[in-house]
Amino acid sequence: MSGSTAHGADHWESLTATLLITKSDLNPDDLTQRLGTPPDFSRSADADAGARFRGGVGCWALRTAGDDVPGALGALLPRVAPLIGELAALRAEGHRVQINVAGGIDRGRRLTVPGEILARVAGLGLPLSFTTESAAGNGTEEFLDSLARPART
Amino acid sequence: MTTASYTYAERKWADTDATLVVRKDDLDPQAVTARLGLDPTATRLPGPARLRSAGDTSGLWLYQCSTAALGLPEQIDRVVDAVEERAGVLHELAAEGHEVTLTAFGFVGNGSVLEIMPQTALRIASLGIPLELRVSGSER
Repeated sequence: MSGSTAHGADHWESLTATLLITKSDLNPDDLTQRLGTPPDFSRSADADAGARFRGGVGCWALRTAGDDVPGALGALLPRVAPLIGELAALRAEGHRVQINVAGGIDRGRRLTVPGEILARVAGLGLPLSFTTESAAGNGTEEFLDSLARPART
Repeated sequence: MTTASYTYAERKWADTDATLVVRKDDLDPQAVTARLGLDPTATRLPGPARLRSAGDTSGLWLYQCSTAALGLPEQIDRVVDAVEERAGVLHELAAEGHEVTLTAFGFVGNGSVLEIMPQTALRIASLGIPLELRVSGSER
């Protein structure tokens, strides 16, 4: 993963902000028509049933990038705001809708989220998630898997 | 922009805690305790110490929830429960040069997710301080 941050070498890198919509029977073309804008990423529910990310579930996403959280979300939220009525309808139909901020943590371990940004996303009524990306995650994943495993008796 | 799109398996952050952090070079922990009317879970006096890096001499006042039975969002809620009526004092401390943050910490790997619901996000925002995420790998 490459790229630097505008706010210090110890911060998450290569930040992206995503409006992410998922559902088991999601049809990307239908969603594009309803939302009136093409996705930056989509996957039909049956495209990759064995996918590591929500396998067997369809995805539709708008995505932006930025040097920090205000930058990444500042580019995304104006695209999301006009869709908020339709997003509410999709949620009522069982779609999972969220705003996700993702970044690389191999070289920086901090991420600052200003209170105004939290309020702005909350004002849309959407959950805000933060996802870490790591190219050196094997040891960590084994460690986390060991935590998730039931204790042997 | 990353080229890979959602190729990871999602998992939660592990061994988490949420902490209100008040930091200042000349911090007086007892004065912060008195002004907030809240006992800290830990404090650190300013000055050099054996386990700190040479440049890290600031004083700290901490109020932490690390209850293992709670998820990180609930740990955040517990800290906000304790301090939200004192938001005015937090503003004063920040205006006086204290660095005041709500810090969420956890061990993570590729695809580790922390999800904050709108109600909790609004409560954090009402404190008028930033949320700072800090993560660590498994190297311990």
